[in-house]
Amino acid sequence: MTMNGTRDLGAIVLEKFQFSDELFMIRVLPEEDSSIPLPGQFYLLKSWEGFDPLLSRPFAPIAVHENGSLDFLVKVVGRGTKIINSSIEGAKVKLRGPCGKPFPAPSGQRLLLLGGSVGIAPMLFAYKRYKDIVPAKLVIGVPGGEWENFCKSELMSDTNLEVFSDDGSIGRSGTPLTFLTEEGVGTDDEVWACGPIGMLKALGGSLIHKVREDQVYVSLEARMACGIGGCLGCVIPTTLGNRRVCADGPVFRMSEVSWDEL
Amino acid sequence: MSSKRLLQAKIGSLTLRSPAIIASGVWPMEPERWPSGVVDNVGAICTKGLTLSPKEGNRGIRIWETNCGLLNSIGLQNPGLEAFLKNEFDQLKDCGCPIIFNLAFHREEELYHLLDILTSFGFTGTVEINVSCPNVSGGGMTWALDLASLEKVLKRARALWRGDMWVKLSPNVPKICDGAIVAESCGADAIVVANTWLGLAIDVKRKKPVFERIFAGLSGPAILPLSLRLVWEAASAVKIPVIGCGGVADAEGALAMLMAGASAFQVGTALFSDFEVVKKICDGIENYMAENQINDLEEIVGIAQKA
Repeated sequence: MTMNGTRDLGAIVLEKFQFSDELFMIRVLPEEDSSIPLPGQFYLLKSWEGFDPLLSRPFAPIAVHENGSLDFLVKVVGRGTKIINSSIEGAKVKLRGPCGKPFPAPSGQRLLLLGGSVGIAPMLFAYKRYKDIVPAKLVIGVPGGEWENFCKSELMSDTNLEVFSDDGSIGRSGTPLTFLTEEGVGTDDEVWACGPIGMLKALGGSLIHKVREDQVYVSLEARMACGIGGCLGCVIPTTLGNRRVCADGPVFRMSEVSWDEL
Repeated sequence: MSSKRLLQAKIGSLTLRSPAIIASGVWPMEPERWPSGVVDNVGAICTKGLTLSPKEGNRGIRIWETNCGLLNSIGLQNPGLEAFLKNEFDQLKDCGCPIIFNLAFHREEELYHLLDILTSFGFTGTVEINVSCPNVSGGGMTWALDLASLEKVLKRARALWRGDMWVKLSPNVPKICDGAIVAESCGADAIVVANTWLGLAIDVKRKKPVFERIFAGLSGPAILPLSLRLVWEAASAVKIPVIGCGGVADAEGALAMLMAGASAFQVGTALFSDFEVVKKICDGIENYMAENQINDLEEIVGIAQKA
């Protein structure tokens, strides 16, 4: 076992939950013992042999089960995710992970978790893991109709949840940031967010002077190749210089990221 | 242990435990990030490209997947050689295989200074001199294309450097043999053939190049046939060992490199797909040697050229 526990693992597809043609959750069971991921950590996943496509795709688990199986929420956005969507139960997949640094342990204050689109995955995982330790609220934003089955699924049951959609077809009209504007946010609240870059950029403006800077964390997405900090393909500009999303992140303090340069 | 000896590769003064070398720029310089066992079969590890001054690297998109390949425009992001030696090298030096210092430079004085710094830190091992950068002091043409300047800088580097000197050639030249012959005549202990191929990606939706610097370097299995051709040509032009680099991703590709004339080979992009790739390659070569009653890797090197 290495310090960070990142390994290549074979895994079997146990189940696939299709929410719409191009939105699904895939449950995979690693064939060997592996490190248990924490919210914010992620895996590189591929469901094909060989080198075409060359790179595995990064996903943060949406749930981790006692038997070691992992759930990933996948939206088809290109060739790799399209191939993963064609996986069937019993199929073999390859995982590299867990990669990256997780969110820090909650501070004890109310935990406000904001997830946009597939960025909901690590936020739901964090919610389920920490809801009995700290008061937690999950606020999610989805584009619209395609996400209805996901929002109504068992995944979301028993959750202190607020749903927003861009077109108002599911939950309330707006984005997770609408919640911050309408419901407000407490000075001591801890805020974690994952979602499209536009949402994360706007988050800074919504929170300014409302919460302590050191209590806001974001999990970023990036093109990446190695997943262990070697290739420097995924770096982002921060106040501390270039940082690797795969190894120094994907979780960063909001105030650390040089948003204007992203 | 006897089977281990089968795979030994001799490059200059180094005897590598296997011919599989991790290429520059793909592997973290922090051993605690290496998955356990992954480097056990590795013959040597090249550092990321090190320059005299720290480099931030390129802005914008840095990697772009292509069919069986990967374009990259990292821009030599590194802390500078001196900071690397002070802050990063200590944890690497006991990793179990030789660390090769990959040096990149834009002005000839920079290379001499880099070698001086290594000497001042008491290092006398192997350097891999990357000659793909533009020669800023000579009009901006890549060192690999400007053979007169290349000869001058390598001769001086040879005089300054007591350890082994590998020269990593660029594939983006009309004739790989020209640079190979210059490197040999300047006293290089080996040449690395080659580096990434300049390519281009267009973001069709935005109707513009993907990369801020427009062109980027192509690596991965897609380029193996191109690398094999260069290795074949270079190996027939020089007597010093050729280290093949570009597209090796399995034992068959590695064997092809050796048979085309490479004494060792580098693995880079394939590690993105599979941490076990070096082990699989080494096992595959060993099996091939056992099946064909070959006891010394040298017997395979260049065998296709003798056929």
